[in-house]
Amino acid sequence: MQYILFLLRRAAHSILVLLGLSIIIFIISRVMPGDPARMALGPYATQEQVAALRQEMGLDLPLWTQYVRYMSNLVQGQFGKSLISERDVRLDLAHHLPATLELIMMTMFWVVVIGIPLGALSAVKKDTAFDNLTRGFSFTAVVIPGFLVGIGFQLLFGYWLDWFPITGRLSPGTVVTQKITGLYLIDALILRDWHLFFDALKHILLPSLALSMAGIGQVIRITRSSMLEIETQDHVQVVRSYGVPNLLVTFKYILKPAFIPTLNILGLLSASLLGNAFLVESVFSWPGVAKYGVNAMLQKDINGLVGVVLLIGLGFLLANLIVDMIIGLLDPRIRLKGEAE
Amino acid sequence: MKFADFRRKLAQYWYRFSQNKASIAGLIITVTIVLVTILAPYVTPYPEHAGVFVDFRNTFKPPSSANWFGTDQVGRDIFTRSIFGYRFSLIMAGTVLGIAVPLGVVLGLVSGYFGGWIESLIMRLTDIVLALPPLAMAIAVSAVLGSDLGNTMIALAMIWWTWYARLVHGMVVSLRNEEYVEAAQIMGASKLHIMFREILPNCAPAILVKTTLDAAFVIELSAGLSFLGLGVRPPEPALGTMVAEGARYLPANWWMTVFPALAILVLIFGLNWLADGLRDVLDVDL
Repeated sequence: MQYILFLLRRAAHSILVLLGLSIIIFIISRVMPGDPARMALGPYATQEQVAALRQEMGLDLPLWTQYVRYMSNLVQGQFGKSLISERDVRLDLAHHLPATLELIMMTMFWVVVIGIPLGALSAVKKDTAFDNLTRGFSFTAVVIPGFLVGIGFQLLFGYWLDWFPITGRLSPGTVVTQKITGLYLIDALILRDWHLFFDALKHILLPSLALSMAGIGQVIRITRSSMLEIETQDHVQVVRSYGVPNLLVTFKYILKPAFIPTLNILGLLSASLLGNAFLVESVFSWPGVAKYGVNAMLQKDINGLVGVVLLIGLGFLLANLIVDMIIGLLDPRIRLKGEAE
Repeated sequence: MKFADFRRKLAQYWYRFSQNKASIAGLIITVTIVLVTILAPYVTPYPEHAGVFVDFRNTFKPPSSANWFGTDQVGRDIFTRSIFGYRFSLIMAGTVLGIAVPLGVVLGLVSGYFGGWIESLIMRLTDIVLALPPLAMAIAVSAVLGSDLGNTMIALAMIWWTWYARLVHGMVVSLRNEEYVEAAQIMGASKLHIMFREILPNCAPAILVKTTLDAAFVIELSAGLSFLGLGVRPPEPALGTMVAEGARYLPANWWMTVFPALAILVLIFGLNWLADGLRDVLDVDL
């Protein structure tokens, strides 16, 4: 019961944040210098055509009325028509979303399977050469901007070593026979199409690794430091003095509670991940939402822009909600805190 | 504090700071780059290459003693343009943080000290702004505001103050019931005095460390923005733009990408080392 209340409170908070976000985006999109209708139609459109589009978009209405229209559309999930592709923004987003989701899921996979073991090993082998090396790596990984890592990977693994392709999601000639989820790796597994699977894997490897570097660095850092902190606590000392095997102490009593700060970081990480995806997608010509967003922004497509920004905000809030959910399950202190307040 | 005490304290800080090689390297890198950037027209070999300049006899020259970093597709010296490219990054970092830090600090102090509806308002506002990835927000804002660098920087500052408001707010909440604050209250000190003279000095180390770290972050952001072609007007050089342009000529003309990219990295690493050193010395936990 308390857990449900805790989740409800988090969800309500997220909805309020989303509402505020939509207001901020509205303000930004309406102070855009230059006439969005004129931008969409190009320099050769007549005055009448521009005026007609302005009317269609409701740009000539008073700001307050525009806001009411904008909000009522949003509540119904309508973002309007993209001024560039002339399709419903929802369709455009749905078309580009699977590529981004696949990239981000793959990135999260690397962050977890590389970051946590390295951080844990680093804590166990504290102050050894391995620990120093890992800490140096984690500092470097956090500091280097993701898009530069991407270009470095392209240069090294793509051009010089020629191990991996450097752009796109699939090689020319490889086709997805049946789109099920739109995530090619998962589709390939369902279809048992191994050629597709390895081709998709080869393409996603460099961008997802480039995008995951900062996260790996942070997860190493936080896992290591929280394990070292937990190790000094009384209950761990007690368990040790009872003669419980070292390996069991490390896994059950130190690593497991250390997951909580790590999970928190993963939630926060999703923000910088989504942001960096903009750059990494454009480095690797990855056909995802971020690439769509950059195009919408460069071409002043307001509706597309609003859609992308809200989608990112929503993604970030959802990620954090899921993290809160898992943390609540793992850590009774957080779950029950609501009761005390 | 007496002046002699202050000097002794400073000397202690400096001693601890100088014990760490990375911190010293960070300090040297940062100071050198700032100086070189300010003096760019006098220290670069071909200052005229920073603007509109074409020399078709010298296009795509690999690194040599005449052009340390090689030349680009219209024959401009990449070393010169990289140094001038730092201007874009440093102006951006200076302006954004110059607005955001004081604004965020004051709002954080006010919300933490007064509490009540002011606190709720300011903190809910930071919740909303922080729900968006800064890079995505920066891209959106600078796309909307066009190539006008000034507007982009103001807009970024409008996002950035929230981090400082959060930081200072948290510290004020934990400091406002300290004994020395109560003592000042009992002695009849004004609210302004308590906020700015009693509480703020205790937040200063954390603010300083965060500002140094954020300088690196804003520079990374500005490189990302200019990489996408936002916020910068060609032919003015920006490191991100140079990386993007060079990437079109990979792998044959690798120097066009690699050197501007390294230029970004050197500055970012320098600032991070400096921040780490300051964090150790000032004993800040961020």
